[in-house]
Amino acid sequence: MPQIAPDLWKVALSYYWWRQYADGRVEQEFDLETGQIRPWGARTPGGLKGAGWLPVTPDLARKMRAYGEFGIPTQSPAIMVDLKPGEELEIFKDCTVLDGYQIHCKACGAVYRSFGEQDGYCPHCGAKPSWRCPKCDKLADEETCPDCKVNGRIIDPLERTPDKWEDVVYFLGIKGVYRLKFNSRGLVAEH
Amino acid sequence: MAASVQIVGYYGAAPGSKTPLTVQRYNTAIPSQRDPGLAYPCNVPPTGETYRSCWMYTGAEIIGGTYSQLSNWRWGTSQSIKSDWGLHSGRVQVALKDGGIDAGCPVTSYAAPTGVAGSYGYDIKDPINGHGYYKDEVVACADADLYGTTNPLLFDSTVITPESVSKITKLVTHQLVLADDTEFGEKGELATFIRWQEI
Repeated sequence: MPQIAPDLWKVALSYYWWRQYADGRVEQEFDLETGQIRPWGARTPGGLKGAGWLPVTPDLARKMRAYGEFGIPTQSPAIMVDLKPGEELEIFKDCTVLDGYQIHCKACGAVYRSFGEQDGYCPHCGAKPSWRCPKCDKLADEETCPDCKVNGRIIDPLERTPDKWEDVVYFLGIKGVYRLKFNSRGLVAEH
Repeated sequence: MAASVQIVGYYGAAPGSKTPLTVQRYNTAIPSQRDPGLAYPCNVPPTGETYRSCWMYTGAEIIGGTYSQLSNWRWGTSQSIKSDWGLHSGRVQVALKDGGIDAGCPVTSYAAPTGVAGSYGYDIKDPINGHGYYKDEVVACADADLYGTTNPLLFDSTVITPESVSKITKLVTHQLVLADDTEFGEKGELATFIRWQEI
């Protein structure tokens, strides 16, 4: 798993980089025969005419493991960019370690992760905390019962336990021109 | 290929003791501790006063893996600490530097937090007892609720390569600020994140 020890993270990859030089040479992050790793280098090399991210296949994911890398195969397409002379390539991945919550909805049984954005209600069934009036036994959205005007007892269907996980987003573009942002689920629009 | 990244904090007397973070709890232990449990709590102050936890550090260390460049280290929260913790006029504050310099504190500038053990820690910006790397900056500490997944705090822009001498990032420096209207009681786990750029 990507969390390889308590709070020690090594992200799992769904894509690996690929680059082509103007003279036709091609290099990529992993040797497809062996899974051996090729580092990108301290600087982006000159003379590139194209680059991009290729999807990790089940076969490559298996071979990567021999080199200590974790691959999550994806059927998403490759994302490539052609480069003109003088254009500056932007290629990297944004890795995030999130310290949030796993939420179990006791109303519908759904289990999902939350970083606080959807804590108010279950995204699957809409259940949310409410207050049971001790006098009329009705559930209300506010602490004070609108009919009896007495404070109720909170009923929270969302059970939270601390959880940590990772997220990887891939970037590809030409500096100052455009930039694509995506993960194995698809393109991520920026606004 | 991917780097192996450990989330770390620094505690105790200078130059500080590096500690992998599983749990980090705002507290008032001096010398500072990662998590003293319910000992050394953060106290709600008397009317008209403001108390603080000791300041804490959060950063990352690259301890292995295969990578070429790691950079653009960012930190943030769920942006709901105030309401989740019932802080009201209180907040979690994070130290900044003037002129858009990286907000994080270099490990070599580590300063041990001081204060009154079990009662309060001094403000990062306290003119006398504050943090030497931050107290004379013009810019005030920021509310941690300002920094979320879409607008995180850049705390280290250094590019770390396998050849870099130090593989530890700068450290986000933050502390809990309690006002007289802050609600009592043990608080839930804070949702935070660390993000970096990798190739």
